[in-house]
Amino acid sequence: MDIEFLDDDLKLALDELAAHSGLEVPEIVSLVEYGVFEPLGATGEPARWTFSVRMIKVARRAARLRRELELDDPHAVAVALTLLERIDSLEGEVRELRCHLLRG
Amino acid sequence: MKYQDYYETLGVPRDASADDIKKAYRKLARKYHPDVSKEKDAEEKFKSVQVAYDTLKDAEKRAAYDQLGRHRPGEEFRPPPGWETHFGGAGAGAQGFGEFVDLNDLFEHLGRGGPFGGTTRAGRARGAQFRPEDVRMPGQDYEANAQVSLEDAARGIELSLDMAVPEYTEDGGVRRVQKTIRMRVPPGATDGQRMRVPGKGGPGFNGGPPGDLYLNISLAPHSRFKVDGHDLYIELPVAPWEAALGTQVEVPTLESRVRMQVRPGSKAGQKLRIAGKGLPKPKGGAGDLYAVLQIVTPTVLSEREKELFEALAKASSFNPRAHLD
Repeated sequence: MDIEFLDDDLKLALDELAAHSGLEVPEIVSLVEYGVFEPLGATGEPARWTFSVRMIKVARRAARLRRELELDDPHAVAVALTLLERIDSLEGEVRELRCHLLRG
Repeated sequence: MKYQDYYETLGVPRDASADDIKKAYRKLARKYHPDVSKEKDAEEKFKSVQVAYDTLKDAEKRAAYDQLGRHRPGEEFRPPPGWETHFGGAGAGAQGFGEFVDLNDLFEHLGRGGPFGGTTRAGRARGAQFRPEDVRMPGQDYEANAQVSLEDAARGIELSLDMAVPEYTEDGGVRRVQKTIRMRVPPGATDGQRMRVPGKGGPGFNGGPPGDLYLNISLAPHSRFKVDGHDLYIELPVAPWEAALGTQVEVPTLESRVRMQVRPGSKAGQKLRIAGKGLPKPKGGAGDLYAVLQIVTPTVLSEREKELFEALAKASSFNPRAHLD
């Protein structure tokens, strides 16, 4: 059983990202328009887009926000994702600072 | 069958309007959704809210639920006669209602997909009149969290996860089954690592490939080391004279110990880098280990030590507070 680290240089096509996240292809396309996902390298035709495998995490989160929190507007999903990413990065910073403080 | 009061779960009266139900759900979802909430047991609470909403938001399912009458939560009860036909699916009736049938599973038979249905292709397809006999579809992806020790993350570890996973029945319903999933996590994971185990998700439909398992790794707190990415940090206490004069010290690493030089005139908080002694990285190489100097003063002094400190105090012109003058 090959277990994959999801921070490699693995790339995904649009339909693969849809399959692994539970988002529909048109939903991903609209989230790309709102700048939530950035296709790697060349843009152009959606069918030729590729995404970093790290995007699965964002896409799965977007799918949950959409279905479970009923955020129907892609812009609302985009805002929520941006805020959640900020929280993630702040939590990362807190963790890093704790390492440097080395207390407790 | 055990009764669950969905109205109570959502905190709405039994005659609540569809709009009130939606508002109550959204309020609770915001409070307990695992992406947004840090509340204890948020995930469990969110699931029960979601199950209740899934039934009450749908007029047809809600009417069927209301027909069950009122019972105390958790009370054993027998569904009224004719219940089976209301649910249309011959499957539900033919299988009978075992004790282990979850209320929500019954509502699944109304065919709109359950709380877990909407997030997978299989689930969506079912909602859109899924006909199992003619569609090849991949299985559902699972997601799991595992906490591992620093040592296990460094060495790699055999994990065995017990999960309650949704399983699709032949007539398109869903039930939760306990499943043990085993996998080997190779060295290289760190805190917050996401991994994918291809083929360890739900089984495919009609010869479709199985889904994948997404695994989120977190590291258990360690008594000695703190972790930042693949770098490790350890506190290294030295005596004031060791910091002033320099010394050789032994620093524990994850596997063994290394000798290092503390240079004369070292300061508290200074970091000594021990290259390659952090956590291994997935593609080879490893992070670094940092020993952070801490200057520790003895709390009890012998007569001799006291004399020497007093002599030092007299002889030294060092003013640690010069910048405050």
